[in-house]
Amino acid sequence: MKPNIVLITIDTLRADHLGCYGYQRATSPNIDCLAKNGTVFKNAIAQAPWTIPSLASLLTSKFPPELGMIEKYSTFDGQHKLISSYLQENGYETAGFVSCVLDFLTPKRGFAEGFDHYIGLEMIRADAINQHAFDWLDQRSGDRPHFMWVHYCDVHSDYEAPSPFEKSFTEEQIDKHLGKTRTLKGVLKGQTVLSARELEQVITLYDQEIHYTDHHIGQLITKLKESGQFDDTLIIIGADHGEEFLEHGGVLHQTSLYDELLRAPLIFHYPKRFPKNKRVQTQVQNMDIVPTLMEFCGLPLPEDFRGKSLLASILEEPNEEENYSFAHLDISSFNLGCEEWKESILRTVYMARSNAEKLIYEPLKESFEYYDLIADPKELNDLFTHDALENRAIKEALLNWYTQMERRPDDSQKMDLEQETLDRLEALGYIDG
Amino acid sequence: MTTRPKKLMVIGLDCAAPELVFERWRDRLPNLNRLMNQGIYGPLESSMPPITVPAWACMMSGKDPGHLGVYGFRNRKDRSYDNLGMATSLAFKEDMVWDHLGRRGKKSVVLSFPPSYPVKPIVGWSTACFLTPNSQSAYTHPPELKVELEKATGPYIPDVMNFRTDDKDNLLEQIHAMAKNHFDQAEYMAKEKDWDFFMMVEMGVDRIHHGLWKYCSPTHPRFVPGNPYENSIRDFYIYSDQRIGKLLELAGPETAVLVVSDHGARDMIGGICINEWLIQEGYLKLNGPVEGLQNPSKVGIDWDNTKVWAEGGYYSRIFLNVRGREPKGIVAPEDYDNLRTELTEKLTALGDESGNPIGTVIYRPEEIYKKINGIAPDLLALFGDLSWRAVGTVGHGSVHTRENDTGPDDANHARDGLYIYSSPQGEVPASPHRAALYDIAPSILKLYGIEAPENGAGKTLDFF
Repeated sequence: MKPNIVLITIDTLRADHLGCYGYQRATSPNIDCLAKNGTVFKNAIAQAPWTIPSLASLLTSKFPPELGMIEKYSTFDGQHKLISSYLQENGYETAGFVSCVLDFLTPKRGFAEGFDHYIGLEMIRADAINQHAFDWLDQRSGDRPHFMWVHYCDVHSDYEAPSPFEKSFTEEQIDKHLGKTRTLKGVLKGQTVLSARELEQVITLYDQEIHYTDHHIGQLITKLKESGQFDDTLIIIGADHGEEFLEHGGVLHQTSLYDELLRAPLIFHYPKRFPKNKRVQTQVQNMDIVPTLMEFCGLPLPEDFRGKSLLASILEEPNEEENYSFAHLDISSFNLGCEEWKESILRTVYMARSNAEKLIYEPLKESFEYYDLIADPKELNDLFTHDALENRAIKEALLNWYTQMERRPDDSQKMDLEQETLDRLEALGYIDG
Repeated sequence: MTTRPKKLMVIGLDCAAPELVFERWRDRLPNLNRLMNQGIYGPLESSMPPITVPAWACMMSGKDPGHLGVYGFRNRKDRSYDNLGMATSLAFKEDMVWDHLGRRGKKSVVLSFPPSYPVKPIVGWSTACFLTPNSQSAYTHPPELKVELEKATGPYIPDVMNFRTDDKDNLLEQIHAMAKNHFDQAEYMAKEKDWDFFMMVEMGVDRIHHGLWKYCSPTHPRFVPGNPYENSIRDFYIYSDQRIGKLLELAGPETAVLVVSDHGARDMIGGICINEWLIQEGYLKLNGPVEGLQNPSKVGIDWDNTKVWAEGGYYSRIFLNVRGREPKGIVAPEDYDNLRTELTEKLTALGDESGNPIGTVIYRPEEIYKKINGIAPDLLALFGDLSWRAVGTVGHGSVHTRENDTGPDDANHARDGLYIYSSPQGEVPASPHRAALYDIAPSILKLYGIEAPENGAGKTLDFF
């Protein structure tokens, strides 16, 4: 029988806050254990810094703009298959257990497509998600392999891990307000200033949510072991995006395309067939997960997939040739209710990243940012000048991609709106012809 | 020590005409009349061009269009021929009055200020202007205000959505519904929010002028006495005055009040087909035959043989195709000024169909702006000093047209808008007092004890 597949994604989990990615705190003993027995991609890049576009892309291997999944109200248009559909059509029993902000990942957004069983609820805790998953595992008959997607949302703000995890990394009583979304939005709006100590406390609160989530991932693994499925299950650990802690002036996510928001953990665990304790440095994209699963299951890769299978990198030598990852962010007033934030974050930005460089482009302002990721991995020193980019392949790669993405389906709607407004102005006599 | 009023309420009436408010209908407008009697008022010289965008933005930033880099609703983004960008709120980078106030902790309510779509964050509350595509759009700051307002006043009506109609009853209905919606919103906000500065802009006056002027203006060539719409504009002023009265009650006696318009209105006699004229005079050459009425760019412009082209609208923006500046420029840089002089002379001499002078005024941007950002027109042409509109399309077969090619519209803008200022501490001045739109921002800031921003185009009015 084909092996089971369990895709675990953790909302808002930045890679560098996990032990297996070098974090100094013991936030993630269970994930680290999977990492030790699996393949860790050290530089996996999400295609957007917030949930809807990032997971839409991860589950389809297409870019968020071409899916039309870039806005707070975006819904799959039915034209793009999710990995669940491919697997369902090929004999897998499929189930999703998903906790999310608002209704972002609920069936009405199209995320339940291809799932035989789907639970998508607003902000329920990991223990409740697990309970749904365990019930399903208990009641299913075992004659087909299963594909299970589990998405935990606990690490997303508010950061307020339940007992005993609220004391995982501190003895002191941290002011609960520091972990509230409302407080952190206040920071973005410039209404609240965090002292260095408060920032540390905010990070502690965040880390404790990771610790809590890791514990429940441990519970899920125990469940798989108890039911005798663990050895025949490919487990993938990933995330939709990271979180900012003032590295570039912002907090939460959705405001920029720096690595603290885009570097996600990516771990493949399947000791039966995959090597143990393997580390891959070359960058990959979250969009590569689906092609990898397809190849793993022996299914042909559709031509319109944007990602590449990582199977060869896992089983053989990593593919070290130069490649680009891409990410997109649209924060307009059409979107996200971010208008309440400071104006400087209202923008549409496009990013291309190689192993050594990052280029960020904001078409409206025709502005670029350019970083040397080797000398300046924290992206603090913008090297952009037109001369510096002269003949750089990354510029061509970014602009090519931008040109493709710019013509996204959802543009037609915006064009209509603009045309409507222009027609109105013309009727009023402001413009002519 | 002079005491200053604590708060200011600005009521903007787009296109409100001084002669109508100060003279013709003054007796029928009790609330505005009271303000005039208590305070100071007069004509308010508009920006050049005197057009909603950029005029309001000039008024509330104190900067001229050159400084703002916005010369109308559509602006050339670069020196190429076809890259016109629409001037939304994003085109404006300069601080407005409420930005200065916000930095000092003062809260503003700003409603339907043009252009304010897409909506930008301010300290306080705002709704976006008539560029808001429809009532579903995100048009409030903060975003949750949308639900609150709609609960109180119903769905937002950003503009008259179907202006190009011959059904005047329907048009009037739309204009009244829109104005009611905006005044309802204003009353709600004035009452519910703890504001230091309040401003609303109502577009209804502008829309009713453009839609029904010829029915109401006895001097318009197509005016018919006794027609059923003869009092429609007057009645709308009366309605607006009533609603202003309610707002003044809500503002309270301690609040200073400024009623203001961005420009006035005047009879539109006809149109000058500027591109037809440029073709006739050999400045502009098209690639192919014209089918019906078309924009020259749709027909295709033979840039290798074109020295000058123009955009139409209430006024005309005239561009020279300069070598080394435009992609296929043919006017030698050393001939640039001579050609502008030649065009100015010919166009000012161009009269109506019978050759009677119409009083066209041509400006060079460097004469009227302190600074020039973005891409300014090489000449700004006000045909008949705005009594003739500028028609950009070709295919009319003549330079003059008496039909507006973009739909019913019998009013053009006049250079003078109006202001009425009444302060609880104010003294009553002797006679109407002329002021300029550029003076408004520094004067408002003075009320709040804030210095005028640098590089402003106006002065601080001493009676503020």
